[in-house]
Parts: sequence; structure tokens; C-alpha cells
Amino acid sequence: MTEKRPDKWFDDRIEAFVDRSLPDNERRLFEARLELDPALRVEVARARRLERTLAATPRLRCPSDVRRRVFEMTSARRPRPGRWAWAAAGAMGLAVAVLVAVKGPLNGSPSPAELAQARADMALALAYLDRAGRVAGREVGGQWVTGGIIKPVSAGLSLPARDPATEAKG
Amino acid sequence: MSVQFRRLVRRHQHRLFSLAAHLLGNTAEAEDVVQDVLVKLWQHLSSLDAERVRPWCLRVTRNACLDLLRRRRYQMAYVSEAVNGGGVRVEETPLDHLTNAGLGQRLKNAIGDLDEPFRSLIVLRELEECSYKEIGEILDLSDQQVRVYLHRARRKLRHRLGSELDD
Repeated sequence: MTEKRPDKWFDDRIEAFVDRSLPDNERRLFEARLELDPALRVEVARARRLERTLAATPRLRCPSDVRRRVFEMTSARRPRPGRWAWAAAGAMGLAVAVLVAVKGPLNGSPSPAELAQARADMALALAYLDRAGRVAGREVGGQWVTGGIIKPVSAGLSLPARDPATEAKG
Repeated sequence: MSVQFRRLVRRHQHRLFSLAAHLLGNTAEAEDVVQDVLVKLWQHLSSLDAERVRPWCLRVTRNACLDLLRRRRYQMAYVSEAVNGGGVRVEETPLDHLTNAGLGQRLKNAIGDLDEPFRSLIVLRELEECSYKEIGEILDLSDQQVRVYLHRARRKLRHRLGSELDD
């Protein structure tokens, strides 16, 4: 035997009625019909029971093994470099370029103005590098950054020593 | 290892596992999916803003589950006998129906029978208590679509369970 179902218009709105999201005019119509239609009342009661049963469904907990395996796997790997790591690499490239420009064989006798400009460029590049290193360190928790390729400059990267002889010549 | 990553794993692991287990109907596969997702999180952590981590994880978990379900369906098409190990439910027989006593179990089965995106909607909203906004982000739906589809999903469950929902 098949059950008598409420009219489709009302059946389509049962869930909205139960979670009180029906517009006022539709809600009034629905409530009026509810008084007269036992099949609709049955379906509304079922919708409420369904809501309660869903709410009472126990949450599943992830076995601790999964967490342990994940920690093991990730402790042996490096994360992919983020955008600040790429910025750090760029800044490092710039710093190297400045170094080559200052100390390279093609520019053996720079003028004092060139030297000053090169130092300013170097300071700027190292400042970027320092900032990028710090931000990247924060982003990945400082695990591989501080001991690796993009550690903050202030944590140990030394500036090229000044050459008094070259400066005196200039 | 990053303290931030450990904290994120502890915060999200149960929710991801619950989503995967409900979508797959299989806890062993859910464990594998969660493990893969958390390793991916580790790899992408530096490119994710803090508030995007949870929807990102849920979306990646759901996609991984759907891939697995597609592969499972494909494999099942070539398997003549039903495999019932680890909670994989193929087709419920009358005997299974009697055995799976309790409304909770029958509801779980009914959720498992829903098509996408209805199944994900029910799990994310009703079981994982995600906001409409977050669900929309995970499933690429507008707020309005989330509400409408969610009502439709509940209606499907109500029709499916029928008199089993009577007190």
C-alpha cells in the first residue's frame, strides 16, 4: 500500500518550514494547510525527526595513527617554497649581481661614486633578503629556513668586507 | 617540523576524517585520504592564508573522496560478486536491511545513496556544521544554491526513509 503524500507544493516546502526559512506569506499558507492535512503533518513530523537524528549522529574521530604517520612523513620533507621564498631567491640573485658588479673582473677600478652606489644597492638588496627570510621563516615555522638557504641576513650572512686599499685608490 | 602545521593537523584532522568516512562509507580509505590531504597541506602551507586553510582542506578531501568513489565504481563494474570488506556497501539485500538495525545506520546508508552534491551538502552542513558560506566555497555554489540544494537533500532523505522516521 502506498502512503498518501501531501501536495507537491507543500511537500517541497516542508524542510524550509521546519528550519523556519519560509517567507511569511508561504509560512501562513503552509500553517493553514497543516491544520487540514494529516499527511502533511506526518511528513513535517518526519522532517523534524530526521533533523534530530542528523544532529545526534556521532562525530567520527581520526585515529592517532594518521597524525603520527603525517608527522613522520612531513618531518622528512621540505614544504614547497612559498611566494616569500621566491622573493628571497630573487633578492639573493640581486645581491649576487651587485657583488659581481662591485668585485667582478670586468670592473676592476670603480669610481668612488660607483662604489657608493654599489653599497647602497647591496644594502637595499640585503634588506629585502632579510625581510623575505623573516617572513618566509614565519610562514613555514622556521624549520628549514633558519638552517637553510634563506635564513635572515641578520642571523649570520656577512657583508663583504671593505677594501681600504681600493677605497684609498679611489 | 612547523609548530603551526602541527596545530593545524590537530585542529582539522577529525573533521577531515569524518567528512571522508561519511563520503566513502569506509574508515580505512578515509584514513588514507586524510593522510594524503594533510601532507598536501604541508606542501602548500606557505601559499595559504590562515582563514583559507579549513575550506581548502575540506575541498581537497572531498575531491579526493569523489575521485576514489569514481575509481571504485569503475572497478566494481568489472567485479561480479559483491565485496563487503571494510564497510563498502554495494547493494543492500533484505537481510542487510534487517541486520543494519537502528535509524542511525539506515540514515547513514541513505546519505551514502545520495548523489553529489547532495551527499556532500548533508555531511558538511548537518554532520560537520559548516556555514553556508563555507559550504558554498567548498562546493562552488552560491549561498542561495546551498540553501535550496540542502532542502532538496533533506527531502530526498525523508522520502527515502519514509515511515522509518515515524516515532
